[in-house]
Amino acid sequence: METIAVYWEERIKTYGFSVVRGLSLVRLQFSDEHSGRVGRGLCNLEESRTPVLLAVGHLDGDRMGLDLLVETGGLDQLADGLREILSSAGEVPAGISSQVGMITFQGPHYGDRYGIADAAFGALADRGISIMTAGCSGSSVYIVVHESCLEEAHEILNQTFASQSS
Amino acid sequence: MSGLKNIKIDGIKLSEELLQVNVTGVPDPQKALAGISRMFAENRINMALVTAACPGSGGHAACCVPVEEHGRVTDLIERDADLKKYVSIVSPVGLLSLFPHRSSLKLLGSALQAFGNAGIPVYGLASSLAPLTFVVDHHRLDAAIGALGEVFEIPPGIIMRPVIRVVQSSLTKGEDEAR
Repeated sequence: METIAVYWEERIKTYGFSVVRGLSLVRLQFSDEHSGRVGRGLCNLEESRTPVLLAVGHLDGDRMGLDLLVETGGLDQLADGLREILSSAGEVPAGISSQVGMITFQGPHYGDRYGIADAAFGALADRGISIMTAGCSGSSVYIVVHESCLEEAHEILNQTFASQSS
Repeated sequence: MSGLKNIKIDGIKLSEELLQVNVTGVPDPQKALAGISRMFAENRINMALVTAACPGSGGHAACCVPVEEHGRVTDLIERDADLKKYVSIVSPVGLLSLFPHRSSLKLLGSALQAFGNAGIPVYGLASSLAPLTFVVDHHRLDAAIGALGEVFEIPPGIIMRPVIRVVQSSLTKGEDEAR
């Protein structure tokens, strides 16, 4: 069955924005042959009770890159655990960036329609906002930037999208 | 591994056949991300999943689009001399989404462990409010579910396969009012 949807909007609607600061971005790189071991190690780190606010991963050749966004408060225990996991697999330690923030937003049928990513990433790129990590899946868009440009990024997206909460 | 079977999955959603467009090793991954997004939006190609990491140098931008767009996607990329040398395509792929994610490191780790142990490559992943989504070979989606079954409790009847497809019409408001 195929359903055809038509969207007529001056600005793309969103249900609203969520802005979170005080976060850290942890970047892991490992061989995909170590995925099982790294996965097992991540399970054991659940004890650190550090919620992963965003996970974005990509396989480039035989190397997996995995970005984990966490609250800075829970970073130390997580970082120690990750260091141990990667070291046991002969991999380099994870890179960590603190003082980052995240903007998330959702909207109707975002996963089924073109133009959402273009509107968001294009607007930020045009205004020189550097994105550290981004993930779009289902109806949600997640954008991670340095805290110093978080408010500006939010304002740009607020001007680009029509928020139902405003 | 049987000790990990205390995570209950409430839902598994599978996508239709897609292809993954990967932009790697590009000097400015954010520019590539904006460029690819604009290219596909102008040509009305939906991206079901987008990921990007921009660490300053290197990094990646990747997206998944319907597999029937392969010809158009290839043509569009071929026309961009700056971009095409950094682009590779994996096809066909499928999205496997696990519900609920709830920001769980254990769910992420368990899934990676299951796929890793079963030798199922994960070409990409992205978390969202409810689901955690993995990009795997489309013909291995069932094998991927089988691998997950080794570490998760998967009740019967929770696997959602694509039945209804929503596409965005190119019809403009003026064209519709004129009909």
